[in-house]
Amino acid sequence: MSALARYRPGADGPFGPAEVRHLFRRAGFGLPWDDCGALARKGLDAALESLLAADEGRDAAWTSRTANEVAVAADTGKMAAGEPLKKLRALCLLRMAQTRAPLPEKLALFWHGHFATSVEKVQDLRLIWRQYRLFRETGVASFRALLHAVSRDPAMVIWLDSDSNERLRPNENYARELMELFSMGVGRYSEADVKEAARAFTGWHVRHLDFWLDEHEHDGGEKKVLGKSGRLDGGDVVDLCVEHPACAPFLARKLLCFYVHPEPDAAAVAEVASALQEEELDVGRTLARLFASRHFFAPEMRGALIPSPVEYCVATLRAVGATASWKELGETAATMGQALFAPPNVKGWDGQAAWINTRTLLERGRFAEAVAFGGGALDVRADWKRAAGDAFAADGDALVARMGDVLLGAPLGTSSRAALHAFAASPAAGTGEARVRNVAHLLLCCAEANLH
Amino acid sequence: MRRTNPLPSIAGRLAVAAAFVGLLSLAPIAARSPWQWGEPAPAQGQAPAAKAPAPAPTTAPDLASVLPEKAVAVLEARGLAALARGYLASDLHARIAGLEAFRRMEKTPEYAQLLAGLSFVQLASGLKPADLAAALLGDPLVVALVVEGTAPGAPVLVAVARTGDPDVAEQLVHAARALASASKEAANPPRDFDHAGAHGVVLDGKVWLAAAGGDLVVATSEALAHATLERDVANRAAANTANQPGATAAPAPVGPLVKRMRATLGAGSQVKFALDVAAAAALKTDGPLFPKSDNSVGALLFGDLLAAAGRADVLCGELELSGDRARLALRVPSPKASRPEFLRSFGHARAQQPLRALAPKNLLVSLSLRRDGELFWRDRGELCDPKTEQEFAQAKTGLGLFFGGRSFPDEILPQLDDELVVVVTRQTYPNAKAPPRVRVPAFAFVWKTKGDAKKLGEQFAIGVNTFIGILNADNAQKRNAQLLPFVEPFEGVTVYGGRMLPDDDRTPDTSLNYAPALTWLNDRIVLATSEEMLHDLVRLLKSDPAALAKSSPWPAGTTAAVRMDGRAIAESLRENRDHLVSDAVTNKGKTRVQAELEFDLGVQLLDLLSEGRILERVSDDALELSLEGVLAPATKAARTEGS
Repeated sequence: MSALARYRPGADGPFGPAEVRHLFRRAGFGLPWDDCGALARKGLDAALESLLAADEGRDAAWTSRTANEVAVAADTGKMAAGEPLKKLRALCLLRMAQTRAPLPEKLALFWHGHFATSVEKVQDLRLIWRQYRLFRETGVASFRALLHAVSRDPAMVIWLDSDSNERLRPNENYARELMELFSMGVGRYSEADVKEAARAFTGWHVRHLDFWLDEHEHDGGEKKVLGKSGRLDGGDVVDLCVEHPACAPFLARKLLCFYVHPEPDAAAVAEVASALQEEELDVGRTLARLFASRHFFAPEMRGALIPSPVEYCVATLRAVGATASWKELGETAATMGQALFAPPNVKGWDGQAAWINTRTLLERGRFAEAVAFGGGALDVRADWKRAAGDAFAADGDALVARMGDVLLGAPLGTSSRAALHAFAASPAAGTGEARVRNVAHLLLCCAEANLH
Repeated sequence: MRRTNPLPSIAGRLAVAAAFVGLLSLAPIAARSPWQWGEPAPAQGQAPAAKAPAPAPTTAPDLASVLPEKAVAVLEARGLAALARGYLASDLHARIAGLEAFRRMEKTPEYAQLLAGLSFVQLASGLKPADLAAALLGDPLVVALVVEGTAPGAPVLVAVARTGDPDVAEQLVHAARALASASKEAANPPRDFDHAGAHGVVLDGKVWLAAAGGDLVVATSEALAHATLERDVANRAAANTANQPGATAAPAPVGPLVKRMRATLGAGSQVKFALDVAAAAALKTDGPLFPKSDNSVGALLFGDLLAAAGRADVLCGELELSGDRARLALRVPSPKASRPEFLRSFGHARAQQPLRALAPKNLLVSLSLRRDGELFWRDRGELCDPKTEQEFAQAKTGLGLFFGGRSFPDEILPQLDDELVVVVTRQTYPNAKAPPRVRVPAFAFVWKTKGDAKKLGEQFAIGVNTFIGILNADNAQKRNAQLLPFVEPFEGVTVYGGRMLPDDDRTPDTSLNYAPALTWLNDRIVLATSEEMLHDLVRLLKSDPAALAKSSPWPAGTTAAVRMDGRAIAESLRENRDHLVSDAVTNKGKTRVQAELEFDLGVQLLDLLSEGRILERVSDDALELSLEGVLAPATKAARTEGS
């Protein structure tokens, strides 16, 4: 059975609120449970349409404009790492929470991890933010166009030393990472390819915060890259990488690892790669097919991923319609291991099991407490009465079921469920809103809260 | 541990501004309404109601006599009921209701909820909100904080409001019971009680509320509630007896703290309060009641007040409303003869000499201070928490670099006299192509030197050039624009500074906010963050030195004075609206709509404040801290808006 065969609600399985939650948690940053129910009633097509919407909404548009202002007004150098960076992170997280166009927003996060450019070296928030906007605006369409744009992006030029790539002293950094990390993967190219590609990118510099081709430093001579000869420049090398047979499977695997399963099977990778090629490497259209597929909705795919700190924090707040100090949230995510705009190295974040260690799990626990009880620096404010809905005054089992649906991205295990039922029915759980908060806290401390 | 933002949040700032103006909101009503017992002022445009024949005169007992004799703190308020009743008909209410932001606030769900809540309370109490507020505020109202028993524990509170009408007091008790029964939040249902002939209700097992005649009694302990009711009933009975023809009775005694409060404070204030320092200190088990300041600036500004408060027996304060002015004052007894030596830096000896004020163009805030820096530095161990020692060490090192390796406390401070003026102004950026996105006010320090300022001024000038050099080196590393150092004459003085070149667009425009400039004139050194401001100050200092030296807008005895222009501050905040709103969104998690509404409401309320002052005054027997506000006169447009 084809992995990308379309999921048929009813025939292949249900399409209820749990399925909508699965879709929006993976493809976006989640939805409140009641909204999941409403969309489920409208059907899979309506849900996909909502997911693929382009209009981000007025609030998210304002946040974008404000972020632009913050980036432009910021100092450069070490000052960029101070308050302006924190504010920019805050606005980015706020956008994720506000947006009505979840797919481009989530894809921007994916590309940010894929192209892994750090402000700690670039030291200019204007360039970092410009790159992030590039991911959001271009990342949902052609990968070829995106890769061309990224190759000329000033932040990338500085990050991977294209700025010092000169005719007489070629710097191989960008050429190597273009092939290894961005388009093809390890073992698909030779060292000679890297050296020749580096020559093609000579003179690709930055001037006055914009890309500038320094003709004087550009090596316009004959080169041979990936079997093709000619007076190749950087753009030609990008095309060669994108057209290489390894590109589509490489990209397919990365998308599947991010959106579906940490260890996708070979058949799924091949199918998604094939879809990418059919769609001329249009990532948005390919993902639309993936999100409508049986493979995506298969039971073994539910709860298979560990959300990154940003996904985890934003989805939890969205689930209960909460507000928080977004600036503090940025710091919290950084402590959990994901500092926006500052990935640890060129490979980005390892993800999955790497998100969980004794230190980060403790931080996730602190976050759970802050969400449930409010106060503190994070100052989370949620409407718990609304989150609990009809279960607010119901018995313990109903409350646990409802809050599990609201807060968790994966089904609650049997033993966890039994323990929570016992707690919710006991006097220790308290009454009224206190009971809801206590149950929510325990749910967020369960292992299942760290899966989606 | 993450470092918290030391700057007050926008919500905090707006809350302070709103509270300040809230105090002022009572002022015009006070001017128009009597605040002694009597009829409320007629509503605007209405003829006064026909008066009923006056009843036979009676003498009501002193309400403060129902308070326990031994109290940690007491409060007495008169005339607030009339103010509450008159508020809705007042000019100020019309102005506030006419504010554009207020009209937006009226459309919010939270406001609708508030109105629904008020309607429910009105239904339950049978009283309109203004009448309800008047009843709760009473005339008078007395409050006491008391420690029960001999063992230290949490203090308990009692408040008694004289509503003047037994039916109203009973209605309020019934309403409280109804509201408590309807609430799902309380762990315990309300229960009735009777004591000393008074009927009441216990709310959530924590608050006792009872009506005794026309007096409403609220207490947080049963024993205190019972004792207060007994005294209230007994006092009223005694007063009734005294009212009989031919009968006499001694007035019910009031506690020593109340006596002291009334003796210390003026008769004109609407609210008086007093604190028994020793009793309050006994409640605080984790350190002194008035600890030393843990930051050097706080110690410099208020160190004498803190030290004196810790040595006083009773602190008294009052709120006085008069016309368009409101004044909140705290009086700390401190006989001159017994003030400790380490307060010598606070200018008490020269307090009667005029303290200079400066008012350059676009003034937002000014601070005039009489402090001897050299003596303060020497006495810092007595005045400051030990944690501040690091601040002093850093200041010594950093300023030592600024002053070419000289010791700041030993070589620089001794050359400074005890007068300092700090001014904050709004910038207009006359030399910039366009004003920056974030507009930071300009700051200036004006020091008085001992003798001619030239020698010390030259040292300052070298320091400014050193600072510009370091800044330029740092900017070069960041590929930012640099400051062009200059030395230029200006109206008879020489100005040393640095300025951004308007054509250099390498740097974020926020840097246009900073162009350090320094000069000296006679016995004053002026250091400013903007040339524009320095020029203004030079003109002011030159204008009439003798007159400036003699005149002072501050009353005699002032050693510290802050003056702020509410409207100017509002204008400055408006210029940074986008930046401040986005800060509220990212730091406080507010929605954009909420943040904008709070901001706009705050600045529009600030517009109502013509002038705010904070003064510290010294006399032979006391130190006094006062906060004063003056309401801005209504403009024609505001009157039209509010009508």
